[in-house]
Amino acid sequence: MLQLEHITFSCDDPKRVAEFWSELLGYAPSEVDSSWIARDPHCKGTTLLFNRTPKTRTLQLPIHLDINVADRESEVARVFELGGKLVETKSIEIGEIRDTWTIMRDPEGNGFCLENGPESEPNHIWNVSFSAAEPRELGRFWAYALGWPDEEVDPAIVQRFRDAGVGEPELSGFHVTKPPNGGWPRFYFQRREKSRPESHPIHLDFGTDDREAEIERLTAAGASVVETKVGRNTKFTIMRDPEGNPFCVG
Amino acid sequence: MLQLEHITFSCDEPARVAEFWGQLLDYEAAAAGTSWFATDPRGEGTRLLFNRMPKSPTIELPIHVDVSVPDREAEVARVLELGGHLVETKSHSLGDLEETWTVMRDTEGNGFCLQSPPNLAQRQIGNVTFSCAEPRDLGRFWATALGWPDEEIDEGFLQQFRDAGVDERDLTGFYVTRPPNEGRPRFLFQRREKSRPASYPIHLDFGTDDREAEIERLTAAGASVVETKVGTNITFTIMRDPEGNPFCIG
Repeated sequence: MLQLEHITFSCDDPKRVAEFWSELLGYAPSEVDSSWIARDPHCKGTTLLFNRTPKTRTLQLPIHLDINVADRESEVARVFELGGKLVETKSIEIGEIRDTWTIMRDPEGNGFCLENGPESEPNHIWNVSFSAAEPRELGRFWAYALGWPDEEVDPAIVQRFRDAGVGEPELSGFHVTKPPNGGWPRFYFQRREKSRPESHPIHLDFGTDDREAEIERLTAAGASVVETKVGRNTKFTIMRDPEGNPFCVG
Repeated sequence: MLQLEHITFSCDEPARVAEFWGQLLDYEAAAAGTSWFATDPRGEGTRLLFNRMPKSPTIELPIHVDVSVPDREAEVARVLELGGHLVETKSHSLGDLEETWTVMRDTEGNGFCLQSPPNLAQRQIGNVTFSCAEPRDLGRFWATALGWPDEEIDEGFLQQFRDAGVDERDLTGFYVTRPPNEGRPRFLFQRREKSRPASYPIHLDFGTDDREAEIERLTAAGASVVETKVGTNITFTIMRDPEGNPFCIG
C-alpha cells in the first residue's frame, strides 16, 4: 500500500511558499538542503514539501487542496495578510444541498479553497481534490492504491440530486475516498476539465514497504511508470495515475 | 465584417433539441431538410440551427450560451419540464459584486446558463461565452472580426476587484465585446480550461459581404483556414479562431 508522505509544491521561491502554508496551517517550516519542508508540530497533518523545480502555467490545477477552517471569513482576511490573493467566493445550491467556499491563491498563484469545518478543529487539509474525466474510476484507483475502503457514493445523496432535477453526467460527477480511521485528508474527485501541464505545480509523494511490488500492483491497476531516480540516499519511481497525474513512490 | 447568422448545435436528434430551444426562447422551430431551425418570430434574437452531426464528448464546452430570463427560478422549473436537467445554481461574490446563475443542460447534455438581469422583458440569448486561455486577446480578435468596438474593461470595475484582494493575473481573466447598438448577444470571454473536442457540439456561423476578403482579413488577425466547402447553392469556409475554435463563414 501507499502512504502519503508529502504533498510537494514546485516553487520559484520555496522559502516564501513554505512560510505562507506554514502560517495558514499552523505548521513549522524548516530548510532541508535547497528545499523547504513544513511539518505539523502535532504530527497529525500531512507534511508539505517545497522544491525549487520548474512548473508549467495552468488554468485549472489538476490537483489542489481544500482547507477546512473554523471561520472562513476571518481566514480570508488572514490569507491577505500572509500574501495570498482572492479569486472569488462561490456558493452552489442543488435542491436543498448548499455549500459555500472561497477560492484563493498562494504567493505563487497556486489555487486552493477555504471552507468552514468544525469549529473545534485547527486549520487542516480536508481534501486533496483531483479534477478528473472519470471521478469514480480515478477514485477507485486511488482507494486501491492507498488501501482505503472502496465506498459507493451515499445513495441518499444521489437521490437528493435526482429529486432536484440533476441527471447524468453530474450524478457520476464526483467521488470521495477517505482513510478508514476517519482521518484526513480525504481524496476528492470531481469531473472538471483540467490543464495538462508538462510540469505539475503540485504532486503527491508516497512511501511504501516494498517499492518494486507496489509498482507492479499499481501498473496492473492502470498506472504507468515514468522513470526511477536514484540519489545518494533515496531511490524513487515517478509514476502516473490512469488520468496522467504524476506521483512518486519511494 | 462578419454578421452572426446562427449558432449551430451538432445533434443526435435535431427535432428534439430544436423543440427544446424553441420553447425555451419563445422561438419557432421548423424543419429544413434534415436540419431544424429555431427562429425568433419577432426577428430580433439570433437564429439557432440544429444539424444531425457527430459531436465529441466534452467536460467544459469551449462555447456555450447564456440565456437571460425575467425570472430565473420559475425558468429552472420550466426547463426541467421541457426535458432539461439541472447542474447547479451558482453564486459568486467578489467584494461588493455578487451574481447568481443556474447551470443547466439541454436534452442532449449541452450546458447553458440561466440568469436574470434586471428589467428584462423577454427571454433572450444574452451571451455567447467562450472558455479560453487569453480572454482579452481572443475578445479583441472577435471584436475585430465582428466590427464591434474594442472596449477596455472599465477601470473602476477593475479597481473594485483589486480592492477586494483579487490577484492581478485574475484581472485579465475576462473580457466582453458587444454590438454597438446595445443588441444581444454579447460575446463574453472567461479564462477557463476547456475541452478540446475533435467535433464541437456548438459553433458559430457567419455571413459576409465578401468571403474571400474576410478570410484574408481574419487570417491576418490570427485565424486560420481549415477548408472551403462548395455545395450546390452555398460555398462556405471553415476557419479557426486564434484559440482553435472552429467557425464558418459563408
